[in-house]
Amino acid sequence: MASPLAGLGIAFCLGILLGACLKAPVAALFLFIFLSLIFGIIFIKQNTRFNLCVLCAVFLSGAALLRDYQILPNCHIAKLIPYKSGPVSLIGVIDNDPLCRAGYASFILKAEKLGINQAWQKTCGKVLVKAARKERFFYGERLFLKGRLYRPFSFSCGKFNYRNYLKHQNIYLILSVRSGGIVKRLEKDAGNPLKSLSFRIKHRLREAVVKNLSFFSAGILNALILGDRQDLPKYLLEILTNLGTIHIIAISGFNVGIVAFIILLILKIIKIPRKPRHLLTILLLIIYCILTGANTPVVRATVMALIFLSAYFFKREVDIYNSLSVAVLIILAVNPWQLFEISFQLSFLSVISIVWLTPRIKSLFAQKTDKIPWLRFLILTFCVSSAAWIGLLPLVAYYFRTFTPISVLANMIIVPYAALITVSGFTFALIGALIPSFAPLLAASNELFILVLFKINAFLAAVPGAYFKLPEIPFVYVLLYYALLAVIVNSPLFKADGPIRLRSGSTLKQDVRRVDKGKKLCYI
Amino acid sequence: MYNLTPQERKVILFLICLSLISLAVNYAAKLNSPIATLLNPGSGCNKININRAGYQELLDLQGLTPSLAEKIIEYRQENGPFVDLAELKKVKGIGERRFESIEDCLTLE
Repeated sequence: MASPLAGLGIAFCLGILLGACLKAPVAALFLFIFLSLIFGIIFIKQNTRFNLCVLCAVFLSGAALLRDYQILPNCHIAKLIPYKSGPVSLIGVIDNDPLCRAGYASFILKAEKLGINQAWQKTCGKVLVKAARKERFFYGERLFLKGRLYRPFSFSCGKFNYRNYLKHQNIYLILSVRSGGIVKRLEKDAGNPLKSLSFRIKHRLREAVVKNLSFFSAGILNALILGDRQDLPKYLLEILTNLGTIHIIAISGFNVGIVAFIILLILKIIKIPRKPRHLLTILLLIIYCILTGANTPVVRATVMALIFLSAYFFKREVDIYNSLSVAVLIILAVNPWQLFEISFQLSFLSVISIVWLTPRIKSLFAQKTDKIPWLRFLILTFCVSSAAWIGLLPLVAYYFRTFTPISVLANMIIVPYAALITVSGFTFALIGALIPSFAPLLAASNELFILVLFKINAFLAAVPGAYFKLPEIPFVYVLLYYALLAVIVNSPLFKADGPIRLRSGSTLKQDVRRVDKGKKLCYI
Repeated sequence: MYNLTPQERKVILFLICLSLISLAVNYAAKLNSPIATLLNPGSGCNKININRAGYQELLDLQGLTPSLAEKIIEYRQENGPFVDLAELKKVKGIGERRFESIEDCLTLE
């Protein structure tokens, strides 16, 4: 089997689902994992039985991890607060890049000490702080705050539930600091130095964009390259959602790929040798991942990019299902609740759909078309766009209650165009941050590109029948759709050329030589 | 199914074993505070010198508020170093109960 980690990833996900549905005692789950391990040792020489034991252990580990995650430590702030509490004092460190708007700041605080009625105790856990303050806050600042703590309200919008959304980020409480409340800075730079550096770079890039572009264009460009959606116009957000092209502003594989390409190109131009170039790209991609907020799609894309880049050092071929599984295992091991997040499901399902369906859809076209470059590009763009659309159709209908037939065409036009804007915007922001006097030279072209992007979106959204609003869909229909899709795609009508394989750091000649030797090819 | 070599199988078993132990220890620490203290010595009380401790060190003491930490530093600047730990009770805001709660974490040496 070329993708051994895929099985483990699926078993782990199913285990987490079991943990969420079945309130099994954690001790019992530990016992069963232990038994699976014992049987694994007994059957170490028997292939099938050993594999079954390992899959069973990984499956149960998923369930045990989620059950363990649901139990909060005794010092957790959510356990120390009575149901109705008066004003409290809190000392903690800012754990993310704060969102600061006119007279209002919002950030996540890692709680350290909690004071109720002048009695102080050590605590742990995260709190979402909403402070009515004009001053700017920064990551890593240790603050003393006085305000009112309350549990998030459980309001829902479609399938989205605010309390669950925060719970999935390990936030169980909100601290509200009114304009008269106390906020004191106790210390600076108490956070992680790498995170601190990443956010400083982000602020420099954002400033360069905001200084040189109009408010409208800066909002779009910051969303496209930094994942900063705070100034994005709401009507544009709505258009992108309806067209099914919202992924271009959600930092994901698309953006990470372009950024990796730009970094590699710059390093190549300045004649950095291949190994240091790959190493430096890995480091810069990690910084990029942190500065964009390290959301699930960007972590997934960064892990896959790191595997792809590091494959060069190990001289191995990359199997995309394996690298995807590594990303799944890493993200869920850190936070198993992510499995229930829409962004996690859409991100992974879109990649699986593209990898699985694109070669099959492409097989419907005559092979002659491969010889004409522009036609090949057009067909490939169509196949990728259709694959993502077919793969995400039921989930989009289930969560957002929309059906977007325009999505295939919109993605065929907007994705290549957004790639151009991302490249030009990133170059502009970099130059603006390094040599501010050069930035105005590139500003006008970026303004134009963004305006055209908006016009294309507005035009496509106005096409009759571009999207429809749907009634609520039962989840069983989603499962039925995927079962039917699997049957259709595996029928003789669709004949895949083989899975997409990525090669890293070697020329075609070298790869052919390695295949000839028949020794060194294996999968990560 | 996978065709793994005996070495690969041993590595997989070892990794699952390691994860199981970590999960179990983490779970036990959540349920039982003494285990948590045992695993995280930093969470216990490390004695600090009251005559040398800075603002942040004083804040780390369980039971001391930022204003009390400031008052201790002010008292030290005005009256010189503490000769006896009980002298702390002269700082406004530190009563008998609060002094008892922090006494074990303080030293003069």
